[in-house]
Amino acid sequence: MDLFIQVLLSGLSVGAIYAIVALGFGVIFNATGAINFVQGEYVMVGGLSAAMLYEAWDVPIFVAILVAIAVTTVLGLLTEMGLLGFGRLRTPAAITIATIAIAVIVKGAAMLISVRDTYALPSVLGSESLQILGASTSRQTILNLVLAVLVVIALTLFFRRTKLGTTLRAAAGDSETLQTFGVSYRTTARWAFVIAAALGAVAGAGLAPLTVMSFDSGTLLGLKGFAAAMLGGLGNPQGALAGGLLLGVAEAVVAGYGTSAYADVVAFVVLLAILTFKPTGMFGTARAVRT
Amino acid sequence: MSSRLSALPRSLGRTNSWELWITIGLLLLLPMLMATDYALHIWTRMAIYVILLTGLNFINGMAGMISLAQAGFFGLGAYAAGIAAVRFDVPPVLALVIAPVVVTLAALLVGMMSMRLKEIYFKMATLGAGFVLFLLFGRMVELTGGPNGLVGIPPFSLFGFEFTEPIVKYGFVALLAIIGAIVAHNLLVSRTGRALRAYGASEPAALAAGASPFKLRLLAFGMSGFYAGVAGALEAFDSRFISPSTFDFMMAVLLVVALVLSGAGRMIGPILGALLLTGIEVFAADYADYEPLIMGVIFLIAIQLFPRGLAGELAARREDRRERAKREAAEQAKPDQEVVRA
Amino acid sequence: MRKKILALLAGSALLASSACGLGSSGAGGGDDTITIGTLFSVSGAGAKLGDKMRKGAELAVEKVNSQGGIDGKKIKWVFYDPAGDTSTAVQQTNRMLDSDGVELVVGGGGSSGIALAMDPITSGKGITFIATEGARQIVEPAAEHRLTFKTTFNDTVMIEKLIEYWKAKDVTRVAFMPDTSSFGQSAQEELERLAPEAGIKVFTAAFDPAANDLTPQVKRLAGNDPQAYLAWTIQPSGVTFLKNVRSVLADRDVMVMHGFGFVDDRYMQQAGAAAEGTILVSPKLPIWDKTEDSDQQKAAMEDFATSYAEKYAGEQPNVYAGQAYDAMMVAVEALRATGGDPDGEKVAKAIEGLGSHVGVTGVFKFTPDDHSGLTADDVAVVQWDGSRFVPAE
Repeated sequence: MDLFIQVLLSGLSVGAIYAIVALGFGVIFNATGAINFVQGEYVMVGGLSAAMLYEAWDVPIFVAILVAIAVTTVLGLLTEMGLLGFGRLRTPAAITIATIAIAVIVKGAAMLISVRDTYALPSVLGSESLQILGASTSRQTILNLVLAVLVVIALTLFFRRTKLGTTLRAAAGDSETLQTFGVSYRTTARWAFVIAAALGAVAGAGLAPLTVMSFDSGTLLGLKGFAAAMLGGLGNPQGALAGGLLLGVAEAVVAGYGTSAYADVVAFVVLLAILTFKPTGMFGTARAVRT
Repeated sequence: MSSRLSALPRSLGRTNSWELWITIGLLLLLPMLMATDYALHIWTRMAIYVILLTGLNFINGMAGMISLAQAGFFGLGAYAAGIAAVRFDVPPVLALVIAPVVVTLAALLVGMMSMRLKEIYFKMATLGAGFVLFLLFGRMVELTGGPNGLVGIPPFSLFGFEFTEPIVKYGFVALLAIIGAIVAHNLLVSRTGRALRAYGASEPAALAAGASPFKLRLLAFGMSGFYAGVAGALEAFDSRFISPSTFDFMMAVLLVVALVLSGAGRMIGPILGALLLTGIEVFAADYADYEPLIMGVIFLIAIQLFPRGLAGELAARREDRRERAKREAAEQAKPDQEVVRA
Repeated sequence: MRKKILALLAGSALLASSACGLGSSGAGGGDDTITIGTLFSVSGAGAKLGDKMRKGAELAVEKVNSQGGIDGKKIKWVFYDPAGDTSTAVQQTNRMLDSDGVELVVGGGGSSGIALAMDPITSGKGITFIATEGARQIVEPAAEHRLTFKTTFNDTVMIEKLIEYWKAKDVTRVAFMPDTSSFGQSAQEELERLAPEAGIKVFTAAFDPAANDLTPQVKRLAGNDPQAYLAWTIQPSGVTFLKNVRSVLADRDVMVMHGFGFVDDRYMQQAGAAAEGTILVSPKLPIWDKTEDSDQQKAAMEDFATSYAEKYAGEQPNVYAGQAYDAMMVAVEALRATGGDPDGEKVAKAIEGLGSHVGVTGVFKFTPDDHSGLTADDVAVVQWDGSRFVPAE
């Protein structure tokens, strides 16, 4: 029983991060129809820059996190410029491929800036652990869960209640539809990247206290966040939350009860299975995903 | 849908045999440029890439989809051949047959799983498949040697003659690459091949023409798997050592980018892509610290410059000129009739 | 049309010529230089380690060259970064040997897989290769690896030292958490082979080096009532291990341990309070100033630690920097013994005939049967006291 609670807590702790990453994928997919491979690197840049500011330059922790979010948001804007600024990439497939190039650039630059070192960021709630029903977790876990839920609520409201939100949701990368809304494709894309990057940074700041950050922290996390997004239904905020938490728990179950060496295979098996059997995801809205 | 179509080279429907001849010519001529052991090693690697990309071309080029599973299939071929030779003492010739069979089956399985998925979803399914394979190479330690790699793969041999001389190794790989290119070319000019490309260029049109998209997609997958299996086995016998790191996500991306940049769907794509890949590998080695940064910037610029690939861009321009000439001629002849393009 | 074909051909030829790095640039060691080639992965997942190794080797090269070189010959150092990929490493090794004129190879890419892939190439060309990677298969059996050496500990040596320590502390039940990389997996093999013979029960749960939470594994192993937790990794997730063990086992008194891959003051500082009291097996290098004055390594370690910190802005050298430095120095000593002749057979003989070479990570005694050269005597058990490594009680 203790082990079960521990597995559950561990899954929720990591799953909350996956959920926030998954939300970022959804926002950009809704706006451009593309998969943004830089999403994982936003997490890395957010977490790493907050930790570097805090550890190497003694910036107060809250300021460090805010500056890190700002830095990552600017990176989101730059991503959009690098992708769409030349007006030559028109299809989601071409944009997706180009995001991989940008992800490689961001990672390469982060490697040089961080001089390949690791950096740590403490939790704003302190380092003492929480004991729950015979299991134990970091206080950061609770904060991450709260953050994930808040972000989902905020995004849901944003998509339903604001004009920009509804256009972003309706756009789905279709520039013709957008024109009828009187909004340009670039404007919606820019907003999508800003939001996604900020979400990535929040995930990074939430992840950093659980481990230490390096330039290499983002890539795999991005892919797992994508699997979570697919699990919940790409582009659906509540689905992203459910998908993230479920994936986290699934990994923890394999780590706790199964052969732990295979824990990291889980995400990709889930990705394959969901695409094979229910590509709209568990909570995906009806969308043409098949031919 | 219309925006997606416009990005495809309009000349997809045409196969130029001069592209095949260039491929064969380059494979024969390159070692004459330079034939040191090191250069031959590089050429061998390039020829392996040609086979791998010719396979990928069936999916990425002809069928118009992007597959990120090719690195995983490449690895599966290498491990199938390597494991057969090391763990079960299978003669290399037989291993070279086993590998493509295994990979073809795996590819068909992935093909069936992703059978009806649309572009982006399809890409992610292939990414997942490639990643699962990559992780398994590292985890199934008893079979694969785990993260340390599989040691002790014998050189390729035929009737007791070992292919260890660099020039012999290159000759053998190049021969298979040439055969592979010819087979691919012949398949593409066949009726099935034309249907495949019609499917890639525009699904509704292919459907209207009565082509079965499932069969076509499976065919593309099976072929890509077969080629990846051959390439993998050759890689195993060439390096005589394989480890998971060679078949990672980055490799999957590099293969796609190289093919897209050089001209997916064209017969000349694989050889140009292979030259690009080996060229970049060698070039980047001189810039240890800045390598990832430089690679990323080059790729981004290249994608922005040639979103349709180098060959695709050239062909599209030629096509445009031809269209314009035709239109002008038509306008002169019948000024009041509008030109309608299918 | 024809123009286009010509243009394509010309373009291909251009690519082609770049593809062979424009042929042989280095004629190899002339009369006044000896060319030594090195591969370390300074990008990719192991970049942090690779960087330390490069710095260690660089320091050795600069030191030797500034002191007049090897019998008057300066070292010409060729360096490539395979980024953790074996096939890239194979290609770069061929390039070093065929086109850069490298006469001796030091450093095997920073991962055992790469070193294993390089060995047949260097051996095939009759070139001596001194690896800085761990797996014992790189040099064993020595009869099949006559020209290949390594300056790292065999896992066997480390595990023997650990078992000796556990016996002294009456530890009979151990929870073992290796990562799934080759580093963790080789240790797992050795520990599961050696521990039962010593009457120690080992409970293993491996983890993904990129994992962000290890509490399920820690909790599961806790069910076996272990007296010690031992992790084996070089990746940042080792910090997560320390935090998780302290948090899950807050009410228990267990010995928390790491392998030599985690002897790094940055990692320890970043784990904060959770790292305090962690026990590690390590070469003596991190505690060089606490060794007896009679210790024959002391002078070498002091010289290395101070000149390293001086050259790299106060950074502390870790074990990996030390191993790379030692590998380069072993090569240099052997070359001095051959009078600067880089012939593979002669250099290998010279290394086996060095007697005992006092390095910074141990005293190397290479023989025709032992190409690793280090023993359990070179291993220390150290402890992190919250601010630095000290000898463990």
